[in-house]
Amino acid sequence: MKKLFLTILIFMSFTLQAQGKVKIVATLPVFGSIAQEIGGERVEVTSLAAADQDPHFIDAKPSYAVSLNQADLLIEGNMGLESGWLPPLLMQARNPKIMKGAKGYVDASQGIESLEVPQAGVNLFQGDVHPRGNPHLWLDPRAAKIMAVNIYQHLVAIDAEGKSYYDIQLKNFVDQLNQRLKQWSPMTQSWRGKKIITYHRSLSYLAHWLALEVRDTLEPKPGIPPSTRRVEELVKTLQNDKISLLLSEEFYPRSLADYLAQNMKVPLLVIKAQPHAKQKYIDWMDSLLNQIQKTIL
Amino acid sequence: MRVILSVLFLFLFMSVGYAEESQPTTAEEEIQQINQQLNQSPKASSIPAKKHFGPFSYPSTNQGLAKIIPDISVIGSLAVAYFKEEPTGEMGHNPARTGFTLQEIEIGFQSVIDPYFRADVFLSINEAGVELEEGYATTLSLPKGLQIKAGKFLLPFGRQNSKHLEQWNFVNAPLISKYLWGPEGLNELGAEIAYTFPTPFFLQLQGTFSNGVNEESFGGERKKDFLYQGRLTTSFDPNEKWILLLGTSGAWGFNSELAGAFTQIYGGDLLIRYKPSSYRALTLQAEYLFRDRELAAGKVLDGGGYAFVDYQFAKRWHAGLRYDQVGWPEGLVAKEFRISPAVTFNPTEFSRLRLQYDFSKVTSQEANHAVTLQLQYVMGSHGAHPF
Repeated sequence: MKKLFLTILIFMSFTLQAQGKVKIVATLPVFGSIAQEIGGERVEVTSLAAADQDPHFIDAKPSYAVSLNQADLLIEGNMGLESGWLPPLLMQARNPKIMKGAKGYVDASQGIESLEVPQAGVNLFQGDVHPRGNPHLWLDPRAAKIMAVNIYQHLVAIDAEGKSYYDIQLKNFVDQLNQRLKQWSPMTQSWRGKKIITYHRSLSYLAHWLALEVRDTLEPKPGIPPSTRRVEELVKTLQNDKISLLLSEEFYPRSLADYLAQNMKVPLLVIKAQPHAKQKYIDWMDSLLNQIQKTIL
Repeated sequence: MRVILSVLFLFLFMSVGYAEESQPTTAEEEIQQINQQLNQSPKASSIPAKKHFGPFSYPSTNQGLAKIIPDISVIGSLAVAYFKEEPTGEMGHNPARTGFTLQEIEIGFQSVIDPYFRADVFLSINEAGVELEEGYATTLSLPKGLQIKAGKFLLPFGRQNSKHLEQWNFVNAPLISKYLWGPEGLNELGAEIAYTFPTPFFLQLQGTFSNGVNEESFGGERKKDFLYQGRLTTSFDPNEKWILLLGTSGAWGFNSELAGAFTQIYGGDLLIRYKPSSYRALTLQAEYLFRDRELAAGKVLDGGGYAFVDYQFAKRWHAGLRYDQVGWPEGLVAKEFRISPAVTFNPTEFSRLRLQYDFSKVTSQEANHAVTLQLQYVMGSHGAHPF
């Protein structure tokens, strides 16, 4: 028993040591990545989901509740991606600092106009519809700017001392992103109006930003894996339309995409859905766009 | 805020000596500008506007949805079964007969009440009528790590007891649940205090204090015959792909056999999950419970447990195999074991089909066989469950 208390004490002292920094917990690594850029050396960022996981299906591991219990700031997309796993974690975390509406709670999507908000009367017969619209909004770098500002505002609110530091960090992030947007523009101009097919309806923001047309998805309806019947429909689409690119995230099953790529002569690109926690958002987007440039017809 | 921000940004731009004409000067202007861009994709007019896939239109504003109405959900579970030999007695949520069983229609109301409390109420409609399955309030703003819950709820004894029917991995509860707690589980009116230790791994202590009306193990009739129950859970992830969870529980109370006759129950549980990718997972869960009762005939020891593996082999498919046993030690009831393979198909997160076969045998009796097909569906917004 004594030993147990001793170990607990030791661990407590560990947690005390790390208290100098603002502890940020991000539901997805993309939010964590942006938070790291704004928070710099004043923050310690933990991302719950891994970048190579489907963000819809994350296990609500008890260890995540521990991270949330010790967090000063929580960042979530709040568009429905986390609704299957974050609420019970928050209940277990018992940390009033990061409850919805508290200073330490960041809704990363706040102020971003979401795409594909279901019209009145749409029901779940249409598949897994997110009532607040398409939640994959980090795929538009302009939305990433707003996320950065959202994070910045809450960081300043809970760590006023660091304000001048965060100001510079935010400005750097936005400046760098603006610069890259200019650099990317000539390359992406030539893609305008091209038709693509994606696995899930997860790349709508990318398509919207670059004026690509998502002609169809491999999934017949959001969240429903493609069946064999689906193959025929997609083959027909590929015959009738010039599809320039097939895009799929790394965690989705590959068989159908591979089949179509081989048999229908459409280039397939398997992409990383978001930056991993230690990767800069801009670098991830840059490599994504360069990959598309190399592959697109 | 706006003024401060503007001043600050002006200062920043001046001090860094960086001021392009088109550059926005405040964070809020920046947001406005970005939103405008988002709203009208550059030269959108030159591209024919394409409304994606029927029901969707875009862009549209992301309006705030105030949460005043509680989350309301309805979860239905229907089973159709064949039993070689029909089960007897109250079956709770378990399939009860050859033919159809309405296992449950659960109606849930869940909401944050105010900055201090949230409440969860679950009504259970079954063939016997309507009853309150759970109804409790939980604190939200106690000092870090502490939480108090009060009302009627399934006590946190082991992993199975506090789970609702839709969280079960099989169509029926392990034999030991019904044997120790009865058909409704260990469900009491009382209060719980829980504390999460500030350790780098998950360590939680829960203690409950309740009326102790459970007839199978407790139900003492004296005024002071309360039930005291506790659970210690720990969990850590050896790495990103693995989860390990260990729990130990105890319950101490008085049974109805004699005034002041004591019952103590102890349990240990284990969960290991290996999840190499988003749609593949292998879970092993095991639980053992042991009961020590003072009865008229003297001290009686009995117990039992189960172990199952669940393999998610595709996004929507699970295969499971459970072994369970009661009468270990034997106590007053004959030893019984059961082997249950099951296949589960989840068309979406909102519906489920499960086919299960049960082979069970009570010592010195003939083996019993059962086949069950189960249908479950969720409507409304059902809060996700804890791990």
